[in-house]
Amino acid sequence: MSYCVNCGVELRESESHCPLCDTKVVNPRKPYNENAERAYPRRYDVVLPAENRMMTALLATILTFLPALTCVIVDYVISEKATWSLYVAIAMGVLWSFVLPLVVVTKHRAVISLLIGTVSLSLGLFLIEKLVPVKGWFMPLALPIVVCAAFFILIIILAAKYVVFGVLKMMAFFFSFTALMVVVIEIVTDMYIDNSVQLQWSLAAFVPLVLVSLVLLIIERKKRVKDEMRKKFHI
Amino acid sequence: MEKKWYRLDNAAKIFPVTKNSMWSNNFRVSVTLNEKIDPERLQKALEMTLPRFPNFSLTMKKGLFWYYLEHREGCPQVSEDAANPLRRFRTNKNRFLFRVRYYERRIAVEMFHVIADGNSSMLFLKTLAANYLRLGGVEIPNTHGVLDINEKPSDEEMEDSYQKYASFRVNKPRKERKAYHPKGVELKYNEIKIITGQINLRKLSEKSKEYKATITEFLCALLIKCFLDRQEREGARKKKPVKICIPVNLRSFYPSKSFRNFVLYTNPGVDPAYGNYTFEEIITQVHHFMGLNINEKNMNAMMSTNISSERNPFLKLLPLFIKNFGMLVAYRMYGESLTTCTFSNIGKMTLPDEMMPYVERFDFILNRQRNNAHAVSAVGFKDRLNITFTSKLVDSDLERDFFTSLVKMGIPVKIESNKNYEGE
Repeated sequence: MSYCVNCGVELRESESHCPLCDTKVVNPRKPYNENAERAYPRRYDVVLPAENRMMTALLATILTFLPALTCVIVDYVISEKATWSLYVAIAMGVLWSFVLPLVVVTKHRAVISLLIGTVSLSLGLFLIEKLVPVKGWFMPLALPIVVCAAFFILIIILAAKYVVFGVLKMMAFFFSFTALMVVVIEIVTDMYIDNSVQLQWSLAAFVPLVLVSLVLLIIERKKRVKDEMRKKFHI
Repeated sequence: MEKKWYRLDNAAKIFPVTKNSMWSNNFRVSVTLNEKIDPERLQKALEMTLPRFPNFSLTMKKGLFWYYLEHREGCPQVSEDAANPLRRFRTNKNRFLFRVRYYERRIAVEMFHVIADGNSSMLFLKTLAANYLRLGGVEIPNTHGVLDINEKPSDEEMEDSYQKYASFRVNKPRKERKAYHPKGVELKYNEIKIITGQINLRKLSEKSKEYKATITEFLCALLIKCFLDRQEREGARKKKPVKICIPVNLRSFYPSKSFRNFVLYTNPGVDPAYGNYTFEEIITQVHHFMGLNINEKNMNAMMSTNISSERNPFLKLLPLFIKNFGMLVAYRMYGESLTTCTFSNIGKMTLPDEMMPYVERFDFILNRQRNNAHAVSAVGFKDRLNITFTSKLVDSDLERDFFTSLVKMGIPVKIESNKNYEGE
């Protein structure tokens, strides 16, 4: 048996230090035996703080609906009918439909949020078309752009989640897909304006984005350059 | 089949309210045998034991006005113990409110205070350990708190004894002065510091008798002394009273057979504003305070006061989330803030003679409180008393003061802990 020279208490064989004063146990006749049965295992239980999802969802709902409701009331009080405030209400509704699945759903949050958000954004734009004097832009212009953007974002999310890429490869993938998306958006816009495709402004975005992707892919393959970059840009 | 459900007993009503994402009011009882625990055999023993204790086959749900407990089928899996036991219980997803853990030669049962108190959890542990040994071929009779698993559980065992025995003669005021709370650097939220001192029961009993006090009174007075010294060292300008919350088992006053909570508490202490107390003066103060307060009349008055609030028709009809808010405010005013720490001595354990050679020791550990930094618990078995300090503070000054004081009085102490040191 060993005693703490500082506290005078006997110590369990498994204690390498006195738990009361942290003094190391020194007993030449009976050195500390690390194989002695410990009072508790060394392993720690993982304790994650529980998330209060419903509370967060309620908070998110209040934070989005309260400004919308305030705008509608103010608008109604001033002009005796809801005019501009309806756009705020639609925007907040769309925002809410993106945020809520992120809070409430436990699995595949990003994908579910994107799908629900896309539907709600399309619906929002459709309602706005009904409210503004200029008609006929929703089906040929707004809807294709929303669907196409959602499709590209979905592919990026799935790639990030299910394909194991390094950071640089992932960035290269993201930039090249964004380049493609920009081109598709110009095609849709051109078709809406004069029914013919002449790529102009999208090339200004496409070329640098593709170049950046290529540079990233090259850096990814050169270990020396990669190490140098890591050194220079470490946070 | 309709699931059986129960109202929360009067003491349990506060526990779901005070629990948060990091902490719940848990405690743990454990028994150390003289052979390594076989998890499969322990699982079988648990499956045999559980039907005898309907208060363990429960899960907690939310109603519109109150929480309630609902019967659930099945049996939880036994799990390996960890260096940070007593982690909080989550009550969603139909979860059990207790867990059985094993480590080397030890079987431990951790539970949320909603379903049982220390007394009935010891019955569960003893019966579980007896069944475990029986599966290994040991013959053990059903005596000394080992229950007959073939017996049908009675309704009396699931009753809310507070409701049954409260007489409603008076309403006792709850107002008391706020107590001193030690300051210090806290551990990480998922850590807990546990230090256990094994003490020779005979020597401790002799020393207590020298001071004309019981063991609980003696240890409580020593604890108060250590807290007073700590407050002195902290150098606070305005000193606050040091009060210890001591749970009182009401089964000693009433013939209750309930497995659920049936405890109240009393808060002995001293106020350093009146001057410096010697150890003898503290013991006298604690001894007389407990003599005056721990009696059937006083406990019944406390019990009746608690139940009157629960029966108030206006409060009853408030929706749960408003009630929770109100109860949390009341808890802040009349709960932990009135005491410095809790000290629960569950007494000396007895077992059937046939079981004695196979059992080495019992332990009883209270989780640290929600705000108070320390909790102290004690249980006796054979010739030893195991006193366990749980704490959320990094420093162990209080524990050191307490145990070295015992050593200085000529009472030997053997220390163990859950601390891990680097480079061990």
